[in-house]
Amino acid sequence: MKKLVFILLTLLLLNSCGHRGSRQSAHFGEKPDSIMSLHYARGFEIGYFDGYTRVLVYNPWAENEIMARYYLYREDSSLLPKDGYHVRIPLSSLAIASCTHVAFLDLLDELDLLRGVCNASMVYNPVLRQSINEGQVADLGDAFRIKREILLQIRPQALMASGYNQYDEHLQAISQAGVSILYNNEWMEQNLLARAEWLRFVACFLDKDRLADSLFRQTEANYLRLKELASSAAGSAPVVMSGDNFRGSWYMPGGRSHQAQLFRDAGASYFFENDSTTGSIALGFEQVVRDFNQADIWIGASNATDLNALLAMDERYVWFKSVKNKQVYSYQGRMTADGANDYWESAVVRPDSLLADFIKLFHPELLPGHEWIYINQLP
Amino acid sequence: MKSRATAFVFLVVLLLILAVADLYWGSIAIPFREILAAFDSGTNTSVLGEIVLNYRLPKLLTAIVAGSALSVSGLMMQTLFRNPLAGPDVLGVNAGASLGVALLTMFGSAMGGFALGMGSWGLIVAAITGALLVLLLVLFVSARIPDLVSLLIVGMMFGNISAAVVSMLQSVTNPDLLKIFVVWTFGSLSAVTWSMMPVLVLLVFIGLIMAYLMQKNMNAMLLGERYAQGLGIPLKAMRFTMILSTALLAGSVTAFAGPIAFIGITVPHIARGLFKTWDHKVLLPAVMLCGSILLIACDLIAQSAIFNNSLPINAVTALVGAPLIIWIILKNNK
Repeated sequence: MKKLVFILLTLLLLNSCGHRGSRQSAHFGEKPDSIMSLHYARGFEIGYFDGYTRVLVYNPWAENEIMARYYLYREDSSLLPKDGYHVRIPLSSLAIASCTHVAFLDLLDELDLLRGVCNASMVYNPVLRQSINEGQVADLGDAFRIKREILLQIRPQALMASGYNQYDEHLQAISQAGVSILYNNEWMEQNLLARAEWLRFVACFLDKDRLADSLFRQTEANYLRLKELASSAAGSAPVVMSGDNFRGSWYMPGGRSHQAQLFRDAGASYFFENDSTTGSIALGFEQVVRDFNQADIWIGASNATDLNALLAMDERYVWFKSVKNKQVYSYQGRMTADGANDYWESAVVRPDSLLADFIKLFHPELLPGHEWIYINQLP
Repeated sequence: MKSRATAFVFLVVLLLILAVADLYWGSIAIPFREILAAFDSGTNTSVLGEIVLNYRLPKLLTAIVAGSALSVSGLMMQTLFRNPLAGPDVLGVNAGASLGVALLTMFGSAMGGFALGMGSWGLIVAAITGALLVLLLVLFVSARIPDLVSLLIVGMMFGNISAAVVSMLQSVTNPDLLKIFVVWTFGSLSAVTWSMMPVLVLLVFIGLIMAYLMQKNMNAMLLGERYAQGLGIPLKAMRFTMILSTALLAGSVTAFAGPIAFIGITVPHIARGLFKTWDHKVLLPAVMLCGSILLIACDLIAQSAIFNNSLPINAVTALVGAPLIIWIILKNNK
């Protein structure tokens, strides 16, 4: 009987440790002296120990599982645990596999560290583009098939990559060659501010925790202030739609997607606002016509550069009220001729600027002085 | 003879029923009276009416046109090569069309979004150009080598070359553009709008006329090339015309609606099984009816509300067509 009680108690205790929300770092080895408090991001943890910093990246696809551990040190690595990457900070050089991570480095004023970048033609940042053109930063090719030889030739101290739910032999091989792989999983966060908060993750490898803290707090304060402003808007909320038809399929952002968050926070009304999908929802053309033909504003309409081009893609777009009233917008405010778009770069770390764009779109009277950064109207 | 007439009547009725069903069922529910109202007056401007008249109706017509065209071209290829598994794609014309689209979507980006600005007509022009180039190569080869099997192999090799170039392009292109191409390969009956319809119908009409003019000669070909030659049929010209007509039919359908698999191979077998004949006079109208019926049925499956969203028509036709062929082969070998 005593034994049974003991077992039950143990189970109960284990169970309570496993609860989400109180993600106990005790689960994953030693307890740090202090932990950096994160406001939104749920994908990583930064813990401070005597003599080193431990960074944990959680596996977004498996509850309570660690994707990677990093032990950050300045001088002495002899005391570090053996179960993760040992990274000497601040980093002396870095390569990145995703253009979305360019802006994190730019904001921290560390673009100089970059030695290589994947899909170099998709980089928008003008400073980095110039370094690429001048040959100072190498093009590492496709992110899923990184040009290993070039990477090992430039041999950066670390490679920052987006984690995916699959085994990547290229990354494994690079890691075995002694390059630390930094998994920046910002894209899996479900909240725009959480995405932006990965700035802290990037910053700790550069030994710029304090700078990241003040930059993020500023972004957060701006975002919340703008959201408050939008909620005070007078009059009815404009109805919004997104995505486009391609040969019968139409992808609309789900109710818990980043886009839906922007619609909500900027004070628009959206058909799927109560939906719980985090990604996008595939719809047939007929459904979209039925549910969205009266939408006031259409944002994120394909690759068309003007309304005529849009109608050339499908003449049936003319059924939409937004098209009749020329209220069609896209994210081409900052885009190069070969398709690099700042919407995928700086907007990731500056959700407040993006929100301001959306508020200007839905309630122009609230931000009379604001000029669109990412959004443009199809002429 | 009487049973043949019955079969035709049966097919026509079935076609009509399915056509009405295709107008009635879609990814959203539209009451029947709305559908009638849409046809009743040209002044109808309700959204549901728009969907019926400008979305479902052209889709239905595309299914009929594409089903007929693909089936007739499949029949011609099976006659030409005297091979039951020949289809419109053996010439490599479809692969050429997809190469054209791949080049446009993926290389077009280098031209500063020029390709995408052209919209759906851009895709069509690219597909027709690709199909025409492969067609010219095949015709060139067919004029030089009299052996049909060699021609078959050459056609398949052109197909393979196109496929290889397409996958090479895929590996170097950016994901957004790749998606446009991948979605194109799904096939889509709804991609054809009213403004494109006349062009598609005209091209297919010319191809069908060519096929009908050759029906007697095709019957003779079934008995062997020597026999046909003995009857005074100009074999070379005949082969040339059949290839041209097939390319016109299959190429234009692929250009407008994307690749649609298995209809061309499957339908001639169904028609021959149904009418128990090899006579092209009967088979030509029969495959047109069967092809339209099969493609509308596939569209009903693809568009049905069960899946909430449209399935790729190319996948549905393959899923329906491939088992049908297996069944036909098993049945014939009994």
